[in-house]
Amino acid sequence: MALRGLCRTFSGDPPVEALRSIDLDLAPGSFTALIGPSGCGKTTVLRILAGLDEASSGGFEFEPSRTPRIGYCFQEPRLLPWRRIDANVALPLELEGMPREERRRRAGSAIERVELGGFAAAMPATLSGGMRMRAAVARALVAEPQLLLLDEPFGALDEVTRYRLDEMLHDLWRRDRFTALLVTHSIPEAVFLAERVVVLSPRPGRIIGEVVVDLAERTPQVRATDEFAHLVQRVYRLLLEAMGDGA
Amino acid sequence: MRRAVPRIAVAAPPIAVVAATVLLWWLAVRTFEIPEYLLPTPGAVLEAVWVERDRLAWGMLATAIGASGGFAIAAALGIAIGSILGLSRFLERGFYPLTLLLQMVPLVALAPILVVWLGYGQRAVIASAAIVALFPVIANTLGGMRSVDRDLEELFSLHRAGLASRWWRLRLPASLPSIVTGLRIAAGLAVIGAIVGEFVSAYAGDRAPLGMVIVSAMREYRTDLMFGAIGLAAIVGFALFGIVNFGGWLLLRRWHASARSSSD
Repeated sequence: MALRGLCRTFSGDPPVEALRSIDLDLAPGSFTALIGPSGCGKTTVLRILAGLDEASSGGFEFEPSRTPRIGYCFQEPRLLPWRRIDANVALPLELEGMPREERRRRAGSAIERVELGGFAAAMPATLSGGMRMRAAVARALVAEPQLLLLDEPFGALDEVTRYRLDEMLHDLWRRDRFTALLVTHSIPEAVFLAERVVVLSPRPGRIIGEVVVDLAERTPQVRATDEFAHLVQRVYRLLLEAMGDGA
Repeated sequence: MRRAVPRIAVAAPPIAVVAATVLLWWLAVRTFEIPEYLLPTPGAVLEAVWVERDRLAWGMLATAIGASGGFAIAAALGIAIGSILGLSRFLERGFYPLTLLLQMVPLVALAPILVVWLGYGQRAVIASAAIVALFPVIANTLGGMRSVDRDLEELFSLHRAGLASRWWRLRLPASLPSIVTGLRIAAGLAVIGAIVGEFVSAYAGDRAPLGMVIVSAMREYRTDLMFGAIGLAAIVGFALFGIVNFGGWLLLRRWHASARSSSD
């Protein structure tokens, strides 16, 4: 899957150029992180891929040419407050017209995978922020997407919860091997999750460079290693360069 | 944490106020020697209600049928119209003034026309109740549809949800709190609409509705019976309101703040 010369300019007075000629290859089963200063158009890339926005020019190609099944995790959980957790998780299947029994089974297993077993019948308002986000991840994964788009999904959570959800997400990816594209503000999160961290410049967003993350393993302990710190520094230097501060 | 409020503390204030009002009423009639045909005593009203109990019970039933029929039509039409107007700003701008007009036209003036169109009897009463109750349902449904969370709309766009599915799974439930508010207002208005309809369109006889009982009692200067009928009409209104309130609570209790901790 590849982005080719993707541009996006928002009409207005004056028009805002958000993205300039983004080229990006996403190998099947890879995990890529997009990082950049706020307002650089990271989210716009995801929105265009998901069909929520349109490119001004350029676009993306899928190989094979069939559009993949896409899962999307927004910045907020976006759960329907009147539905139980299991019905929220099953929503994408329901909109596809899947029969009820099959839906229930699949939603149940997605809920187990994000470690929310026992909360299937709970209403969203009764859960903590971290648990709601887990439910949102389950909803994004329930239709077994080939491409998972993650728009800073854990940005609003506290540090410890965020680490735990990053670890959970990593395990899910290692097991299911969907292609993942993560947008984040957090360098440690990008380094922990992705095989490749792509750095964008301030608006209009262009690709400045990338760091290949070759960590042997991704356990919670890896965050405390020199190797990890070194990778974080490399991404940080690129980011400084991107912002024109030199390094 | 919700504190348990003893039932007696909830029930006592309204009971005390009602009792005090009745007492004042009785005292006023006695002290100022107000003639019976202007203001009967509470006792006289109760007696009239008891003596005419058969007629009044049938009247209540007829009025309740007229009001709830009108309410049901207003609810269904109002939710449908509000939902359709909520689809686009263009539709809203085009048709909303027309629905405002519905509110501005004095219904008392419209009621005779309804009789011409629908004939004497229950149908005109139901139509009259429906027209008065319709506007708040439209307005509140539209308000609810307009304030559906954009982020949730986007979630449905992501999954390419069709219009019907979006309405049923997102817009209708999201608008429910506001629709229920509209229905509560409509419940009270439906009884008013029914009584006005009955004034002009209803039939006399043993099974005449309350509006007709009031009119004939007026002609006979039977103020005690009028008061009784008015009180019973209010009870019909309370009952309809109570049913709507309970239904709303059932629908919203699990997720919406307006239905929780209502005993505080």
